[in-house]
This record gives sequence, C-alpha cells and structure tokens, in this order.
Amino acid sequence: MSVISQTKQRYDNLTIKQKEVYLGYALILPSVLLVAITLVYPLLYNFYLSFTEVPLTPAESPEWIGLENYMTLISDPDFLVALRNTFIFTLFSDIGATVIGLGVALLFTKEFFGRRLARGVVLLPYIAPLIASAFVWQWIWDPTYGVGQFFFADLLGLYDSGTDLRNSLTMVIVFESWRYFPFAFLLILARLQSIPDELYEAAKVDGASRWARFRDITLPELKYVIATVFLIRWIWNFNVFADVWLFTRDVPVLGVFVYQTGFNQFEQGIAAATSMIMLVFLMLFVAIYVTWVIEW
Amino acid sequence: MSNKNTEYGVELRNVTKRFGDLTAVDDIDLAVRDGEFLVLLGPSGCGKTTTLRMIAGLEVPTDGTIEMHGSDVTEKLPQKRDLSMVFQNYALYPHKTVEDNLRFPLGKMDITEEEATEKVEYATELLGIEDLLDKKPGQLSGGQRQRVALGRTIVREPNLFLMDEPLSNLDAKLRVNTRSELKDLQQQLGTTTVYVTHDQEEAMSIADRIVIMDDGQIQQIGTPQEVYKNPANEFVASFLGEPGMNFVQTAASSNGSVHAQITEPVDLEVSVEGDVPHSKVGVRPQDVWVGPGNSPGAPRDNGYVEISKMRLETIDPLGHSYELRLERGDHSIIALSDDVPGQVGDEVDVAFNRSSIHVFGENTEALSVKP
Repeated sequence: MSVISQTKQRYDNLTIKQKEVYLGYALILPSVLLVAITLVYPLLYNFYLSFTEVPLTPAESPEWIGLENYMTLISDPDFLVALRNTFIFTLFSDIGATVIGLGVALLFTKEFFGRRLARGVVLLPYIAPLIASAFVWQWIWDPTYGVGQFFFADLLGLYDSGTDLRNSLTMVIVFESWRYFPFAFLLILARLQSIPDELYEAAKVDGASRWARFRDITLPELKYVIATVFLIRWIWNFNVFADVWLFTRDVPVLGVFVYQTGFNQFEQGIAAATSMIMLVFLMLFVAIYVTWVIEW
Repeated sequence: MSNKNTEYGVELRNVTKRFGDLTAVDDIDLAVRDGEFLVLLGPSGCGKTTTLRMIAGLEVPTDGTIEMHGSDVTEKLPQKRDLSMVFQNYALYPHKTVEDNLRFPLGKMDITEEEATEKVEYATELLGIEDLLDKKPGQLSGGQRQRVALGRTIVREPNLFLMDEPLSNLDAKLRVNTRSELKDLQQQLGTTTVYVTHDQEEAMSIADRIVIMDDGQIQQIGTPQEVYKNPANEFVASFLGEPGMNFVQTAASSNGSVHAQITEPVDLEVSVEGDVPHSKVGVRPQDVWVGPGNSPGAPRDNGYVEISKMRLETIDPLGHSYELRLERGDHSIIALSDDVPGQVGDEVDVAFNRSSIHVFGENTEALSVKP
C-alpha cells in the first residue's frame, strides 16, 4: 500500500470529532504561520538583539554584551526624558481625545438640523492624512504667519506674540487629542444611541435632574466603551512615532528615541533594548488596567 | 399638598397631540376619578400610550389642558406631577442593585435616610421581593423584574400610578396571576391608576372603568360590563369579544322594525326606538344558535329567531366548545356551539338570540333596541 492510501485509510478511521479537530488545525495554520513570521520571530530576535552590540555590517554577527544596553539606558538622561514624555503624552492625549469624543457624542444625541452633515465633518480630523494635518497645524501655529498665532496671541493676547508653541509637549498633546477624538466619538456615539429612552423617561418621572440622569444612566452605560477606547488609545499613543515626528522634532517620545538611536546613531542594540522596555511597560499597563478597571 | 377631595384626580380637556402630520390623539376629554383603576384599551396606534405619556408629562399636548386635582399641569415636568410610572420594558436601572433601584426615586424627596429605608422595606415586603435586594436587574427573571418595577412605582407613594402595558412581557400564566395581584395591590393602596393595554381580557378583569380608544379618539367609557353588553358603536362591538361580533346588513324597513338581509329580508322581531335609519345588526358568536338542517327549527321558546340556512364551512374545536364558520353567498357568520350540528359542507339552520341583538345606525352608532 502506498503512503497516500495508508494516510487516507488512517484519516477515514478517525471519529467525526477527531476529524473536526484536524480540520480546525488546518484552518488556523496559515494565520499561525503568518503571525509566527511577522510577529513572533521579530519579537524574539529583538529580545536577543537587546543583549548585544549590533555591528554596522551584516557580515559580522551581533556581539553578546549581557545587560549592558539596559544599564546604559537607565543612566541616559535622554532616555529618561523620552520615557517621561511618553507617559505624559500618552496619559493626557488619551484623556483629551476621550473626553472631547464623549462631549461631542453627547451633543449628537439630540436631533438638530444638519446632524448627518455635522457627523461627517466631525470625522474629518481622523480621516485626513496625518502628513496633511501635521503640516496644516504647523502652519496654524507658525510664530510669524500662523492664524492661530494671530488669533490667540495678537488678537486675544493669550500668549506673547512670536512665541513658538509648536515644539512643546502640550501642543503635541493638543494635536493628538484633536486628531483622535473622532475615534472615541464614533464608538461612544454608537453605544449612546443604544441606551433605551425608557431609562431616561423613568428617571425623569423619578425626579432625577439632568446631571443625575447623566451620572446614573449615561455614564454607567458607557463605562465599557469608554474604558475600551481609553485602552486602545493608550496602546497606540504609547507606541506613537509618526504623529509626533511629523509634527515636531523637539519632543522626543520613546518611539522617536528608538528611531533616532537605531537609525541615526546606529545603536541598534540599545534601540532593541528600548523597545523591550516599552513592551514591558505596555504589557504591565494592560494587565493592571484590564484587571482593575475593566474587570474582565 | 394636593387636595384629595376633588372627585377627579386627572382631567384631560380637548387634548390633541400631533406628531408632524400624524394626529395621535384627537381632541379627547377624559376624567379619571380619584382612587379608580382606569384602563385605556385599544388596538396599536389608537393613541392610548400617547395619552398616558401626556398624563405623565413625557409628551406635551399640542392642544388642550391637563389638570390634576384642579390645578393645570399641562406644561409641568414629569417630576413635578407626583406620579410614578411602570414602563413596558420596566426600565430598571441596569447598573444599580434592586435596592438602589427602589431607593432612586426617594433620593429626590425631602426625607431622612431612615424614612427612605422604611419605605423601601415596606414596598419590598408588600411585593415579597426581600430576597432580591442585592441583585442587579440582569440577574432577575421577567416576573421578578416586573415586581421590582412595581416596587419602584409604589415606594414613593405618589398620587397617581401610570402603567404602560406592564404585563405584556410576561408569559401567559404569570400574566394572569400578576394582574389579579396588581388589582389587589391597587385596592389596598387606593391610588388612582391609569393603565394602558391592548389586551381586552386583561382590561376586563382589572379595570373599574375601561376607556376604549381608536384612531386617536375615545369610542366609549364604561365599566367592563357596560362596554361589553352595550357597546356604543360598531368599533367597540367588534373590538371586544373573542371571536368578534358578527355583523349582518339590514334591509330597509318602516316603523323601526329590523330585518336582517342574508338572502332575503328576515324579520328579527326587534325594533329600534324612534324609527332611526339603521344599517347593520350585530350578534356575538355565543348568541348564534346552529341546528341540523332537518331539525324542527330554532328554539323559539328560548327567544331565538331563525335567520337563514347556511353551509357549515369549518369546525374548530376549542376544548370547551366549537367555533363554527357558516357561509351563504358572501355572508359569513361565526358561531360558538357546545356541540357539532353536522359535518363540514352540511346545510344547517342558523338563528340569533333576539335579546342579544345589537343594531347600528348609518354612522356606526349603536341604537337602542326594543324587543
């Protein structure tokens, strides 16, 4: 008997349940391979690189130096600044985008003229290409020609004319909150619209004020969607590179730090170590958050 | 404090509600007596729920006024009307425990924490839901949720209960049990109640008075017996009763006598007072007698008058009796009978109970009938 017919015979002898199990493995195999090649292998390789000094020429292999990269990092003031910036940036741009998204979504619960059009307009910051948004923002806040500068400094006198706001961490946070609030808006609005009117009517009859209805009905109903939006944005913001890099070169966050270390200074071992530290922080955050905040 | 001496707890005067082009409630007058259990009954879209919501203050009438104990509340917010409401889907606050759900309406009242606790305890004991206090609505069965919703309604001891199809989400058996409990509870508390349902059996069993609505208008107000026995018009007559009333065209006649016309005019041996033109007679299926074609005829001694010979088209056993469908030409009559008078396809004799014949005028209004 040939090998093929033997295999077929063995397959035919399996129970239906066993056949289903094999089919299941066969179906997920392509995805598993893809993930292994694009995620697992680079991750493990990066982990290995973080303990080495990576030579510039591919002909030489990386040199094992143990924890030295990590030691260098924790005594590097640039790294510590980037770490601090990343935490501040992530926290506040996440809060900003979520709170603005919630506020705007609440405005959309009432019928008003042109609501559909307004909804489309609200999505624009999220839809517009990053590169366009970043450059427009740079122009708006240009200390010489910018319209934001004209309005807020020259006209309203909120800050000194000629000050360049573009290079501050605050402005990056504002930019990022503006750019991503439509994401929070979309998800929150979808949930808002599924809260039954009856709940609000019952609360009205029960004598609840507008604020009490928001606190006792809207917020608890939105808890999970807000928590989820916050988590997703946290992960994206923590790993941010392009948004910050295109907007300003003067606010180093960890993503920027990794890029500069790895591809400007060609310290790829140190860049790998930084990535590992980012990964650990992120995993810790997600674990804590999911356990205590979302209570999955 | 409100004045409880006024006879009418709630009065609607010339109330109209339009939503765009749709007139949901069309110029109705309605007075709810203090302490009564009033049921708004009608098919869907008849305006009963809109009427209830206007009493609640969740909708503002387009025209007309609403008074409670003599004071105008037409534009008042729901929370200022001293009423509570049970919603069709109960509208329990899903994130609060049963206890907090019950406590929620009390939070807005000027009472101490101890008084609030007492009120919650009173309501939970009354409804037998002491075991549920720590649970969330999601963990409760339909019947339990319904009780909690009732609890939230009575805990504040308001002047008026409003209920919007509160039993429609319960299964049939539970619905029947709960409605008698609800009636008991209302009598015990003596609180004026306005209750919306589309289920006539429910309305009949629970109401002191029934308001029958159709097409935004009140068709009739009366006790369950009144509206069933003396329907004010064709709509009420056809809406109440299951299966519905049979209608037969009448032939033109003089001096008020009424002739039913199935093939040729048959004298029904009743007449209408005042010789008013009439167009139809109505007879409930229980008042239709059906006998085999070779029978000596309708039991005239018992007040039956023979109408026509008809063909027996279907026989549906209902358990306690049979539902028979009889046809002749375009005419169709439904009868309820204790026994089967023949086989499908047989010619049978059909007779009406004279004392139960309703006569309707040209504008569908009921006319008074002399035997």
